[in-house]
Amino acid sequence: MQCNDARQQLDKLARPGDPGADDALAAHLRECDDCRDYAREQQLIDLLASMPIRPPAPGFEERVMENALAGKSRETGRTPAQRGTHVRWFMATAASVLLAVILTMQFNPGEDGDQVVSVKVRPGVTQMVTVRLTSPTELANALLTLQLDENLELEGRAGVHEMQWRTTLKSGPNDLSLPVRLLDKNSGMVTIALKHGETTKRFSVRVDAAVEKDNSGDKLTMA
Amino acid sequence: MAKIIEIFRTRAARDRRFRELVQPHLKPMYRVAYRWAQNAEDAEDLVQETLTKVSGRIDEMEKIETRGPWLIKILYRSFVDFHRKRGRSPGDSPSNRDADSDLLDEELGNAANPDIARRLELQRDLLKALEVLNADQREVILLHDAEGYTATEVALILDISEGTVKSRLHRARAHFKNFWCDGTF
Repeated sequence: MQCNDARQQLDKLARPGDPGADDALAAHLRECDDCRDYAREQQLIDLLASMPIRPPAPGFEERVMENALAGKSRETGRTPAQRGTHVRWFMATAASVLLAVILTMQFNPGEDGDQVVSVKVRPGVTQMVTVRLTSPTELANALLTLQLDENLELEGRAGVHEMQWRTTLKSGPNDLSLPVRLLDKNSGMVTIALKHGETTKRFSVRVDAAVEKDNSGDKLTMA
Repeated sequence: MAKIIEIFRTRAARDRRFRELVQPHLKPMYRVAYRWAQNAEDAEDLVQETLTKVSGRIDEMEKIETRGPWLIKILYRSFVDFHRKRGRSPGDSPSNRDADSDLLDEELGNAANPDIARRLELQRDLLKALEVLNADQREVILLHDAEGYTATEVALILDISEGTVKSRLHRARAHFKNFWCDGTF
């Protein structure tokens, strides 16, 4: 058997080396290093291409399509245990942008009332606003609702002004970083509501347009 | 004409068009995402992140002929961001293929046919060989050989030259020559 014949036959075989390769081909492969390499390469490709993968959860296609069209946060629909990494993942979407503000606040489940802080950002530029929620205890399955004024958007979620997801706050500081972009020179408001049990804690970040470039990164602490 | 344009621009029409453009690529996107992330949930997140990113780029998508590789390129960027956040490069973890390995073990446990079992064992050995590859070579061989993208498409996806793709592919395949034990054929 010639090499050309061997390779043509190998190309026709779905799985070179499997039963089905005739004796002449097998004999040629034993003798010809090049064709043996070729056959092994074909088998490598076949094994890689048929490597099993775990299927997605039922409804995957419709779910990702709906969420994408709604511009929903990826946190939606995840279990609390999964959302810890999910929130961090969300934070990664604009990891390169400037840290604009750190808001530290004490979250006490019995407490209710609005708190407002402000931060200055450059209009049209995405800047990271990090909200730090310091909780004295773990708050499992808390409901986090985020609302943005029309002149504000989160990077990657243009046109989405409200999102909601469940998450678990660990005891101690919990950072939620928001890649915020102010679309005009007017102030806009980001309102965050955290509901745990029957208690809802609301606070707002007023986003003002910075007149001059501010490289320092505002840090604002509320206790 | 203006009316037709207006109708076309309605949200429902755009959503429908978005679905038409993206639907054929969801399964390949998930497959690639799973190969990279080694986790079904993270893979779904990566796909959704990618779709969210492109949902406002329908006009741009309409003009792209190689839409599949274009979407995988955006998926890859999402994956890189994901790993950057975790403080390491994609594929750097030596246990990166744990999920594949677990799945193969499960299937091996259920394999009644000896030919299928032999094949699964080969794939399990192949996974070990994959782990030894550097991340660059592994990315190329998974896209090219496992998922069937051409060298040109892999170059587009990874934002490298076609020559680099071929070079990495050659080196990766050379590595696998040592993988085959005598008597494979």
